[in-house]
Amino acid sequence: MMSNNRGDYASASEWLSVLRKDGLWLSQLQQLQDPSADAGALRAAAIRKIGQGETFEFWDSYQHQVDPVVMEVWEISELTLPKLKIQTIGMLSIEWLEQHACGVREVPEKLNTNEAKEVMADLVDAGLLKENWQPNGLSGTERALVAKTVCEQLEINEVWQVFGQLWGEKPETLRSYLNKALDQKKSLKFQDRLKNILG
Amino acid sequence: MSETRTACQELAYIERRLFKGASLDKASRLKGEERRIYKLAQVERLLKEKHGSSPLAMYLSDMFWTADEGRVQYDENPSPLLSLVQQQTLTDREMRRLRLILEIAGLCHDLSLHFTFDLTEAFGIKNNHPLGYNIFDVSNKQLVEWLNTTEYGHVAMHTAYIMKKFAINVYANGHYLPAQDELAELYSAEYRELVRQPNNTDIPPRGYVKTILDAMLDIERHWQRGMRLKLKPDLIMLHDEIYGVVPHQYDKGVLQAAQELFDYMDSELCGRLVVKGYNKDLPWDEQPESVQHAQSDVMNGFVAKVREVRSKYLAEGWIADDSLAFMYLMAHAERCGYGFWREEDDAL
Repeated sequence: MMSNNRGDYASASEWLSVLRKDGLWLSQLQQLQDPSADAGALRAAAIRKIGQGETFEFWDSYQHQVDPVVMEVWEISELTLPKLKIQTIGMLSIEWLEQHACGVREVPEKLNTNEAKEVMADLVDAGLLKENWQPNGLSGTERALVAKTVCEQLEINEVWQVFGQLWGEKPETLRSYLNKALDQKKSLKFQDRLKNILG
Repeated sequence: MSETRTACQELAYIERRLFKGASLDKASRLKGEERRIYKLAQVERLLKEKHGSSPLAMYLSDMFWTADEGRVQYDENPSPLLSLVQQQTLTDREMRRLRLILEIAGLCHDLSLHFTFDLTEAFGIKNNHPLGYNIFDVSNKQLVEWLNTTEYGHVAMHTAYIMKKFAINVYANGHYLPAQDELAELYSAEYRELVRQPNNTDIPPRGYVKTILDAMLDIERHWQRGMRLKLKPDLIMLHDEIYGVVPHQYDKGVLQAAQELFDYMDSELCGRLVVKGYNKDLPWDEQPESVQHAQSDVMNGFVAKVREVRSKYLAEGWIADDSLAFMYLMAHAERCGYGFWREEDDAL
């Protein structure tokens, strides 16, 4: 029985290690391990659990590493433990999906061309994508820039639908990252890197 | 801060760096309302202008005090301006300017680091609290009015943020979980942005203050409406926990569900986690096996009750086992199980 009283934990790490043994996470893990499970639906549900708040922003900037996010949120000490628990289960689920992703998620038709495969192979070689075309530790803004650049190169208009489907993300969320990316100086550097990779 | 700098040199540095063209000498002779307005205008400017990524206000505060609440001097190299011996080397005019700078720096410290402060001294708001406490919540109508009308937008933003922080603490202590979370991850639908710290937001001052005050007022009104309906605090909380948020209304069906859970908790759960052999100083997995079994039985009973109530009163999708609403109810049940229940007298 996992306590919801903050005072029962010496640290964020202790809370997280208790959560990793908690029944709710273990039953979620069972669902993730089910070979017949729909990874896209599980990912979408996990993203919903994390929400769009500060925890999500930490998670995004820490490139999906769970421990530092929990420590940050714990330190701020404003969220309730029930909410942090739900969000952390969402983050752990994505972590699991990213570690165990095997095979390519159903490739959208627009990306099922030889030209697209070449472009994506270049991104895999550069370490931005995994073999299954899933993002390899990219932040939200970086994912949006990859999607936009690839679609420009392949002359695909439905950028967010196509990459939302490929990566199991909401198209509008992905698109909102682009607006954010355009406001960040570091995006210029990443765009240059993409240009170099994709020639 | 240089160890060898004298009070006179330090004062000159601060004036040159932070108050150039601010007519500090003339202002140091101001009194009453005029002095207060001058200070507010300076604090507003210092909150607005940046030193690196932080406001100049924080830079000024750092020259005197640590980032702790209150006025804590540095153990090593404290400001020579705070040393009585060093202050004696200043002229009367310099001392007068220093006094004004310290008043400004004090407010900069509290506002930029988000600590409560004396509202009468800072904003000229009358203190109506019988014990003289500064009330940083929306029940302080004068404060709300001041924030909505002031020309000092950055001062208002930081004050509103302090109010939000203060309310989160109140809700955390009162275990009003949906309200705590709503403010902790407050989102402005109008500006499509999280309400972050004032130094880290693109929301304009007026909109920022409004977003926080509206959210706090909504929660306060909802709570007060519940009180007027003679709902017990735990019942209001159960109602809102079932929603997973603080809703705008009291739904009859949800209230029925909440009432059934309330009755169950009152008769079957309250204090039942404190079983024979239970040691409050040990974590759950170190409690004797008999305690673990007994506590699990109690909590499983509540889980069964929640599921029963869910199917009886609520539509599909409500309080799913892995939902936030369910987690809120479990946390409430846990507190009740340890005897924290029906604390009407301590209600928010």
